[in-house]
Amino acid sequence: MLEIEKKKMRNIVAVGKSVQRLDIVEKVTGRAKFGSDFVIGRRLYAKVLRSPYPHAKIIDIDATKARSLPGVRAVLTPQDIPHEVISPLLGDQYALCGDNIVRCVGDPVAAVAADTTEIAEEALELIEVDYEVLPAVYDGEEAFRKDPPVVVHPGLSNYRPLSGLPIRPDPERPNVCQTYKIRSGDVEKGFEEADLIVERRYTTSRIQHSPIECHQADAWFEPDGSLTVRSATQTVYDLKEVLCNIFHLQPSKVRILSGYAGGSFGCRVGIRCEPIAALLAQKSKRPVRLAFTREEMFVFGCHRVPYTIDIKDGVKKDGTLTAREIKAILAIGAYSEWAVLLVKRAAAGAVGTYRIPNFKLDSYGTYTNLPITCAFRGFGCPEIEWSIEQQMDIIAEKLEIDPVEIRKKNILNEGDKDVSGMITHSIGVRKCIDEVAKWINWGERPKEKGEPWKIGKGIAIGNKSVMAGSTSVIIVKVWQDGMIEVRHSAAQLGQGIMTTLAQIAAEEFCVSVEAIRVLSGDTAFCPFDSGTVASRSLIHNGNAAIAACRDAKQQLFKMAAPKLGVFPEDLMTSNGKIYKKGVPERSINIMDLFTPQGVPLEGGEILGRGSYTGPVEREDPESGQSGRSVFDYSHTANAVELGVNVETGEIKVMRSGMACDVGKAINPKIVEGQIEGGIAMGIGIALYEEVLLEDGAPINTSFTDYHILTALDMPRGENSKAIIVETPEPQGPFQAKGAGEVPLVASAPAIANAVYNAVGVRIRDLPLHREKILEGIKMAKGKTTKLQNAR
Amino acid sequence: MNSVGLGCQFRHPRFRYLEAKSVHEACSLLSEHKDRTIKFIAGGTDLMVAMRRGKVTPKYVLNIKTIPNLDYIHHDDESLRIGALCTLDVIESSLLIKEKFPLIAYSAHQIGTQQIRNLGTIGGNCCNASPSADMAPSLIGFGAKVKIKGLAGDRIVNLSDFFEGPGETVLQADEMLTEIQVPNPVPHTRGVYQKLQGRTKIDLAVVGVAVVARFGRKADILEDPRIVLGAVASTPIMVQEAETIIGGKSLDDDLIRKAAKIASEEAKPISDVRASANYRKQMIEVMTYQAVKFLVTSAQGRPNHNA
Amino acid sequence: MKSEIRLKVNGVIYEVYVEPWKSLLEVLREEIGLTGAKAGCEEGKCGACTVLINGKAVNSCLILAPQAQGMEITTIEGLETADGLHPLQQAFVDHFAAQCGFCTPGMILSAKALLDKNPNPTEEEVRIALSGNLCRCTGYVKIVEAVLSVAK
Repeated sequence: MLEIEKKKMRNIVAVGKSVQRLDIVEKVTGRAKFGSDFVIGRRLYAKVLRSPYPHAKIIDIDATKARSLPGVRAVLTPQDIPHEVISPLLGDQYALCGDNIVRCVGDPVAAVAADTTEIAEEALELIEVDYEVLPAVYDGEEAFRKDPPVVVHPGLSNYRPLSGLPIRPDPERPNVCQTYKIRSGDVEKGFEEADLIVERRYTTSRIQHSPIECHQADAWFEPDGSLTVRSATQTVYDLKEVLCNIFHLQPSKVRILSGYAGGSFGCRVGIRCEPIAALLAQKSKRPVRLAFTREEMFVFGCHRVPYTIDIKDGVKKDGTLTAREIKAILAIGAYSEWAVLLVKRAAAGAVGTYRIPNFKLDSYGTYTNLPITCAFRGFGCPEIEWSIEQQMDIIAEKLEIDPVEIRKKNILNEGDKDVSGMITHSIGVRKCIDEVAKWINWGERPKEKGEPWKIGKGIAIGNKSVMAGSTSVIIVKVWQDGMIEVRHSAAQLGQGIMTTLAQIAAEEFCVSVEAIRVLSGDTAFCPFDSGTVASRSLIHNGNAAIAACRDAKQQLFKMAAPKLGVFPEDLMTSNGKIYKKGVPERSINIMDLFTPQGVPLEGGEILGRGSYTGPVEREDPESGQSGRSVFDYSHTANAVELGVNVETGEIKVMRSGMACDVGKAINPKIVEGQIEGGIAMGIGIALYEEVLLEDGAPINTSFTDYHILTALDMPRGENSKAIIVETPEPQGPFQAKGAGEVPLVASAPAIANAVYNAVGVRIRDLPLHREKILEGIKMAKGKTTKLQNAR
Repeated sequence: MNSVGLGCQFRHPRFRYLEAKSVHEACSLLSEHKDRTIKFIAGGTDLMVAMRRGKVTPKYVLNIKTIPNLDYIHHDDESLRIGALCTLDVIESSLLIKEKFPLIAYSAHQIGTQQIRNLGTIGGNCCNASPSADMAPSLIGFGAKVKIKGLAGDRIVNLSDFFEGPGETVLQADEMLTEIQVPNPVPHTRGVYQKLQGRTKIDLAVVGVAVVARFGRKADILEDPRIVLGAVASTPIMVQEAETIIGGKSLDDDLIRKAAKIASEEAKPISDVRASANYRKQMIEVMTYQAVKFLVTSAQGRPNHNA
Repeated sequence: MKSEIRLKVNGVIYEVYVEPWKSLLEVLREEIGLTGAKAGCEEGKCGACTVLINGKAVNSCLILAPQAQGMEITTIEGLETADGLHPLQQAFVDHFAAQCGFCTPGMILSAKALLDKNPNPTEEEVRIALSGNLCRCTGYVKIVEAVLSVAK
C-alpha cells in the first residue's frame, strides 16, 4: 500500500539495485572479524569430552587427575552442573547437564578449560569415565514403533519446554516427541475418484552443513556478575533466554555479541558451544573459548534430519491430482532441539505449491541414538519435495503427460485455498518453471555425448515458507551529519542482510547507501529479533526498518515543520534535506536541526523505533487448518541437464538453471548469489554428501571423505544460471520475500528426475551414489531405449 | 573404559623439533631414536594430518626440508632422477618431465589440490605408502627404483618392492629415501593413468590403473605391457596375468575385455568409506579396459592427453 | 620448549617466541595478529588457511612455524597497498564474489598465485587452481567470474 504509493511519487533510489555489499571490502582485505579473530586477555581454551558410545549410563566419572594437571583451570562433570535447560525447545538435556545417560556418540560428558588447547586436550585423556553400555536404536522406523527396542528418553512426559511451542508427543509411541497433522477433505474418497494411484517410499540422508567456519564461542563474566557471550548463533535472543535460565540472570545481565559468521545454513540455530563455555567461565573466573574442530562439526555440529516419507498420490487420467497422503518419520536423533519445530514446518513444503482437493499428512519426530540434528537450509522442504517432485514425474510418465505440463496443471492459483486453509497469494512458481524450461530447451532431446555417457534432463519445483508470527525490532538513529544508522539483531551469515537493510533505509530517507550505517551483533544496543531462520530476516527486519525510519522521520519533521511554516505531514526528505512536498525550495538541511555539538533541537536523540510481527492464526491441532499457517511462500523451479556414465555410475551435472520467486529482489546480485550457492549445495547433497555411520558413530569426519562441492564440480561458465522471478508480496518490504533457503528446495529431485530421464533408473534415497546408479542401470537395461524416445 | 571419546580425537600434538642439514645427519638422528618415536616432516601434508588425527604420536619431528640439494631433477642418457624433496608442483610443471615422461607429470598433477602439491614431496608421497597414491602406479609402470641411504650405506630398491602395506615400506629404522630413479623408457613407449576419483581429481583414487607399454610392430600391439593397479590392495600391485594376455598380441576389443576381467580378478580390494569392494572390482575392469583401449587408440593417432 | 623464530610476512620481519609444534597458521593469527588466514579444518582440506610462500599457495595449517623461516610469506593483509585494493580484491568486490567471507582471503591468494604465474588462464585452469579452496556459500560462480575478469 504505502510502498506502492511511494514508488509512484519518485524514482527508486536503492531498492532493486545491485548496490555494492557494505561488508565486502572488509571481507576481501581480511579485516572482517569472525568469532575466533577476536582477542580477549587471559583467555582459557576449552575442550569437551564426548561419549564414544551411542547409549550408555555413566556410572562414574573421575576427573581428579585432570583437575590437578598444571594449566587446567576448570573441569566440569555432570555433578558440577545445575540441572537446568540447555535445549530450549523441549527441555531434554545433554548428558553433561542431565541424567547421566549418554544418548549418542559425541554426547558431551565432561569439559575442561586450560591455559592452552594442548593442555585441555591432555586433560581430557586423564578423565576416567565408567560407562555401562546400553542397547541402542538407530533406525527411525524401529524407534517409531509402539514397542521400540529402546526408549531413548523414558522421562519424556516430564520435560518442560522453555518456549511456548506446542509439543504433542504420541502417547502410544514412547520415542515420538512431536507430531503434526493436516487433514483437508477426504483422502479415501479422493483415491476412489482417481484413475491412477502412485505410492512410493522416499528417504533422505544425514548430511552436515559444512560451513567453512567451525562452531565456537567465547564467554566471560563481568565484575557485576553479568555474562557476555560471543557466538555466531542464528538465534541470538533464544540463546540469551537459555543462558538467563541456566545462570538465573535477568535479561539485562546477559549480553550476546556476534560478528560475522562463516556460513551456517542452519547449524547455528540452537545452542552449540555457548552454555559449556559460560559454565567453564563461571567456574574458572576467566574468559573461556570453546571451539569445535572440524571432526566435532561432523560428529556433534549437528546434522540434517533423515526422513522416511511414504507418499500416496491419486490422480485422474487428465493429470489432475485428486488426493495426496503423506506420512513422514523424522529420525531426529538423541535430543530434540529445533527438530520439534521441523516436524510441523516441513509440512509446509507439501502445502504451498499444489492444489489438492483431499489431503492427509502425518509427521512424526522420533528419537534415536544417533547424533543430534537441527535446522538445515530449507527446514524440511527439500526433503518433502524430494518425494513430491519425483512422484509428479512418475505420474507424468504413467499418464504420458509432459512433466512441466502436469505440474502447471496442478499448481495453486492466486486466491485458491491451500490444504492448510490459507488463501494462496504471491505464487510465482508458474513463471519459475516456464523460465527454467525455456532456459534448458525443455522440448528438445538432450544432445548425446557418446558412450559411456547418457544425457538426461529433469525438472522440479518447490516452495519455502516464512514462519508466521515472528518479530523483529529495528532502531534507527539519525546523526547530525545526516548519517542514518540502522541497528538490528539478524545474524550475518553471508546472506547480505546488512546491505539490503541499508538499501531499504536509503530508500526511506531517499539518500545514497553511502549515507547508511548498519550495526548489529550486540544485544546491549541492538533490539529484539526472533532469529535468523525461516527466510524471515529481510521481511521482518525490512518492515521493522521501514517503520523505524518513518518514526525517525516523524521526529525530524516535527522539529522542521515550525521552521518551514508547515505541518509535519506536509514534509518529506531526500538527500539530507527536509522539504515541503511539491515545493523543494522550501527546505531545511537535517544538519540544521542539530546544535553544533550534535544534539537535536528537541528530544536529545533522533531514535526511530520500529517493530514488525508477522500475522499468524492459531491452527486446529487435529486438522492443521489455519487461515495463516505461514507468512508467505517463496517459490522455485530447477531444470538440470546431466550425464550419467553407464560404466561407472558417475553423474556429471552439465547445466543447472534455477528460478526463484523472491517477491522483489532488493539487491539482485545478492539474490543471484543465494541461488548460485543453492545450485552448488543442491548438487553436493544430491550426489555426494552423506554422513556415514558405524555403530552410531560418524566415520567420515573430514572433508577427505565428506564431499562438498569444489570449483571443479560446478557446471562451467553460463551453464549454471540464476533467474530471479518477482511476484509481489504485498506485506513484504517493497514487496520482497525470503530468498535464503528456497534455492535448495528443488535441486535434488530435479537431478533424480534427470537421472531417470537419462538411464531409466529411479533412485528414491539420497545421495545418488554411483554404486546405486550402477546397480540400477544393470537392472534397468531393458527400459532405457523406451525412455530415450519418450521425449 | 574409554576416556577419550569419539568426536574429540582431533588434537594439537606436542613434540620436540629437530632439523637436519644433511642426509647423514638425518639418518643419525633416526638411528638415535631407534624406538621409532621420530618422524620426518617435509611438506607436512601427510604427517600433520596423521598427527592431528592421533594416528601417529612422535616424540620428535625432524624437519628434512632443511637438507640442501635434495630437490633436483636430473636427466641423462640412462635415467630421470628426482630428488626426494622435489615438490609435486615442480614435477607436474617441469618442462623436461612433461616432454620426456609426460605420464609422470600427469600423475603428479592428480594428487590433491594445488596447495598440497606446492608442499608435498615425491619422497614423502612414496614413504607415506598410501595404497591409493597417484604416482606409484605410473612410476612402477616405468620400472622406477628408489635410492635409499642409511648409516650402513646406500641401496637401490625397485619401487614395486618398496611398499609393504598401508603406511609400511622397506625402510629400516635409520634409512631415508633420497632419490627416485626412472630408467629412460625404450622408444615408442607410452603410458596412461586412469583414476576413478571421489568427485574430481582432488580426491583420493577409488581405483587407479596405470598401463605402460611399448608400441612395436603395429599400432594395435602392446609389447611388454605393465599394468599397475592402485587403491585396490594394500599396496600398488602389478597384475601379471592380465599383462600376459595382452602382451605382444594384436589387440581387439574382446582381448582387452578379457585382460580387464583378469585384472579385476587378480585384485583384492576392500570396502571402505569411499567404495565397496564389489564396486572396486567392477571398476578395475572398466578402468583397465579404458586404459588399454586408450593406449591403443592413441597409438592410432587419436588424441591422448596423458601418454 | 619455546624458541625464537623469525618470519618475514608481507615484507616485514617478525620475531616471535613460540613452541615448535605451532603451525604457521596459529603463529600468524595468534602471535602476529594477522587473522585473515582462517582455521577451517586444520587438515589441509578446506584452503581457508591459504597463504603464499615464495609466491605459491600453501595450506598454512600444515606448515610448522619453524619451517617457514627464511621464506617470503604473503597473507591477504599484504595485498592492498596505499594505492588501494589489489585488482583481484577489487574484482571480488565488483562481482559480488564473497558472501560470508570466510573462504575469501584464501580464495583470493590462490587466484593471485595462479595469475602471477599464468596471467591469462582458461576457466578450467582457474577452477583447478581454486579446487583447494572450499566455499559453501557462492557455488564459485561469481568467484570464477571475478578471477577471469582480472585475467582478460
